[in-house]
Amino acid sequence: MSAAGGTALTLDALKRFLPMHLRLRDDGTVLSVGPTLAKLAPDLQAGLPGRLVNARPGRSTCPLAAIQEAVDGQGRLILRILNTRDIILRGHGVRDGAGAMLLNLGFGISLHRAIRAAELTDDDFVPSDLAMELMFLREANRGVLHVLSRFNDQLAEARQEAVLQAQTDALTGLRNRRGLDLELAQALRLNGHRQEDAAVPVALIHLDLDHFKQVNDLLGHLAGDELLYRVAAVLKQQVRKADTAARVGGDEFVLLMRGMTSRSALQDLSKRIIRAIRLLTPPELTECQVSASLGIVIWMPGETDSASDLLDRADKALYQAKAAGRSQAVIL
Amino acid sequence: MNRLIHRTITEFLRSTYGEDFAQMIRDDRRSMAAPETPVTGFATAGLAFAAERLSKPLPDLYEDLGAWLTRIEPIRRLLRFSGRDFDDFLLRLDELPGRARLVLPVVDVPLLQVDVDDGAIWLTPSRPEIGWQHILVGLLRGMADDYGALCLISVHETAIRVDICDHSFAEGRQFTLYGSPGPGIVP
Repeated sequence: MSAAGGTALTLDALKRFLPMHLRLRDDGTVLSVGPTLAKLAPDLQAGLPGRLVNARPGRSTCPLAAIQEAVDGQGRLILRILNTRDIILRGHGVRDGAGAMLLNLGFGISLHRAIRAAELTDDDFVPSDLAMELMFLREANRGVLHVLSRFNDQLAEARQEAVLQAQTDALTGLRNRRGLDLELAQALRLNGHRQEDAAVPVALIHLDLDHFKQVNDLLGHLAGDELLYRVAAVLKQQVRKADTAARVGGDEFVLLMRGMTSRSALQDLSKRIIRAIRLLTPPELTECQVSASLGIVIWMPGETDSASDLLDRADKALYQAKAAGRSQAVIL
Repeated sequence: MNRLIHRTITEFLRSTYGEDFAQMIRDDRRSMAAPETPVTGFATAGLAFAAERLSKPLPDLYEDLGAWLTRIEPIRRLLRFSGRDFDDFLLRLDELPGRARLVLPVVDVPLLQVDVDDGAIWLTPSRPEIGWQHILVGLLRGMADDYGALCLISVHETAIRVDICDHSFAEGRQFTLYGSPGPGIVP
């Protein structure tokens, strides 16, 4: 390069100072290629065609025309290296003392792809280049995001488990009061509000054990708990998958049967449940037999959608069953 | 943040002393009262329990933790980005707190002053905290191995002295800019 203004560099100095430079004449003759750039486009020295294209959208792909426009118009240059995937070179250029065009290029956001494609190292970048910092940030960012997303997954899992636990009765594994309230509210909320989830009738069964107190008093709480657990097993067996069985108090259970409107089917179900529960009577209990009383209401879509009204009515039915001598079901 | 520190310590104890020991420390920590002390104190409590159970000085455990961190591939890579050789790594350690803040803004790594004196490199943290000082000592030992350098590391009150005996004592572990970093900064 000829001296002009005392800033001339030898070819060797130019290569060390600007490892990503490209120096060329207006006729397209390549005069020198920086060593890092040469790693990505090894035969660039032989000429631009087939090796670089203009990557600015809406313009001709001719690289030489784009370079001249950027140099003389003091604009920005965006080139793409052919035969490599997605590596974009960004840069600018000036005319040097000899009238040749001198470009300084960089990788921009495609840095990591360039590093991978040409197996670049720290030595391929000048100290003022932020390449190392960008790679550091990229990996740091990925590492932290990975950890955070794993923590998030764990939190979501723990939350789901906690929600389920909060709606479950620890002794029997049935729903608890809160779980029932949610299911019942949902069943009633569908009451004509959304066409795609058309409301279905619901039978609400309030079940109370007969002579449970005697089991507790005579045989102890452990025997009482054991009985509750086995009653729950009976109920689970008698309801279908879409139904809900809950324990809502000491020896009080509620069944929510979806789509159930047949009184005779409900009476049959009640008889089956009562029979199965009578069989659970502990042999040590000689004075009386454990059984169950059931109060049942059938809710049809369009009726009140107050859950507490419905539960009150089931409770009244249960009271009638108890008053009529227990061990039976009353349907209101 | 606490969770990250806690998890790191648990993983360190698990991989060094086994699952049963890590579980024992988790139980110790669980029975601890809720934190009135600074929160990081609560997060690092596991290490104090472990030191007690192992009858090992706490600084030694911090040192082991520092060295262990350099064997976690993503962390090792982040550290290797900070210097082309061990010398360069040491001289640029004043960047470490800034880099740590870039990765995890809430980690309060103390500023580090780097001096060269008497043919040795001296590192002085801005706050004399046993934890950071000894984690750093372990980190330096681990990274010296990683770069394949042989050096003497000693603690002088609040400062750390590093004498490099041989820059290329051993092969050092491979490092490429484009290597795969592995998924997370904590195993």
